[in-house]
Amino acid sequence: MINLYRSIALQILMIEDNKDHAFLTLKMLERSFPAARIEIAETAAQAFEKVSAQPWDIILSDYNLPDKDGLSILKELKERNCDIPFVIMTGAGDEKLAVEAMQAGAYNYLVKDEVYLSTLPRVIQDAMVKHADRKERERLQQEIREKNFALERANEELKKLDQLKSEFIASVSHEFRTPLNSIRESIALISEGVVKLGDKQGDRVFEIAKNNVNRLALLIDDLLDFAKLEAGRMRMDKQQYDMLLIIQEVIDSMKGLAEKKGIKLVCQPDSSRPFIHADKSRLVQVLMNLVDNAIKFTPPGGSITVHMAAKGSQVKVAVEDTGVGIPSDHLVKIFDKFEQVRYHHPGTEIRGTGLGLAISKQIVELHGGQIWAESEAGKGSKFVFTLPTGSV
Amino acid sequence: MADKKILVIEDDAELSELIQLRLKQNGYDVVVALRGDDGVKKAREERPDLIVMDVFLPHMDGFTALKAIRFGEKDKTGDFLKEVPVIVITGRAPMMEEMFRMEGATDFMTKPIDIKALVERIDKILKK
Repeated sequence: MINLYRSIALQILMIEDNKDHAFLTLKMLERSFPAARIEIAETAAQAFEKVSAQPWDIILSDYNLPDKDGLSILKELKERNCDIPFVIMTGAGDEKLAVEAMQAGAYNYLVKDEVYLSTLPRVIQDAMVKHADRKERERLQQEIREKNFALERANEELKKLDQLKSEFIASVSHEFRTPLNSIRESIALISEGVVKLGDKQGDRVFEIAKNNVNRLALLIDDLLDFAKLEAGRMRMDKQQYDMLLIIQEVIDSMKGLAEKKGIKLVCQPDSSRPFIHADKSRLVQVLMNLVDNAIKFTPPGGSITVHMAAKGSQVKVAVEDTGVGIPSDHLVKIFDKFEQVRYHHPGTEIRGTGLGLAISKQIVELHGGQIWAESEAGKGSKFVFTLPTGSV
Repeated sequence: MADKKILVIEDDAELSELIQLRLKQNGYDVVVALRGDDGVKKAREERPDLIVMDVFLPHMDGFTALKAIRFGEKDKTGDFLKEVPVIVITGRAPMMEEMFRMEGATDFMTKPIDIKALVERIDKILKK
């Protein structure tokens, strides 16, 4: 039989009080396992000491010991969760004890007859192989359990996302139909001659149709942007820009909308003039989205302040409003895709796809920055994003 | 006989304009309110023959507004506002119709509304 363990530095602990037996067994082991390190414990107490002191590959124990019997040692080791292959040696005629030991978890047994020493190497090998097999099986079982758990979790996540996606699709199709409905009705009023282009009513209806076409176009743009970002196909055309000028440009274009609602929109930059490497149109999109949201959720008479401050190699831009604020448990989720459907403000209708913040987050991250929201209920909200400054 | 009067409580100004035009074309007199509270006020002042109302309204939501119209202060003619048919334009939320029916809604239409279908519905209710 091939000795699998011949050249392996096995750590063998022998528990044997009979000096003759110990000596013979030792010699036999040394011959069969020349690379092994073998120690002998003469009592159970000594054995436990050695077990605590270092790891062992196998324990070879006599049954009759001065302080305890081999079976008790085995049981105590099991209680300590000490998983070392254990081979018990009994005197001839004590086979019953050997069976008991096997039931208690011994890996093998050996009856000390005239030829027992010659079978010892094989018994040890069998025990070692059995142990290795069991370990491997346990490891695989554990791995399967872990993988199952991970799969279950991934499945849960997917189910949740799928549910959100369905809600989102329902909500967005609804959002698409609303302007479409107005467009259809406007065209019907004109084509049926209910109103006439060129007079006041007809021109107004035409304007309504145009406005709703724009509303629809914005929704579609959002959806396309989102699809591109999701597929990782949003191309960034980055160039060097003065951050403050971009902010000013956005404020100039949004001022009218804010003032129409009686809201003051101002810029509060620090004295720095940071340059950023960015896709300007995308960055403008982010800022417009944040300011537009602020206008939506700020009552007339309120104000919106866009702060800008550069520090180190970073610029921080914050859009702060005096609006209704955001409950703290929604602060992170509002940036998740599809989540807005669930977190829209009570008593208001969702207008738009609700993807604005998810899109903004991805754009900021594609610029190497971060975005987050801060809010105290009733005290307005603050949307902050950072961008790296300087040249590439 | 004078034209029947319809009160439209809808905060989407453009949509309410389109509804108004279509209703006028069909021979109705139309009053529009863009806010919930304004809708309640106009319901009392104008004594409409039918009310069309949205659910989500600024300043006073549709639910509160309908309650105020049905069970609020009586106007000079007594229980008139308890009788006026009210068509509620609902969203897709379950239970919504049930809730509104309890407050006295007569009929429902789901958003986004087909304006021509709305006119047909009004014609039917007012047996024009």
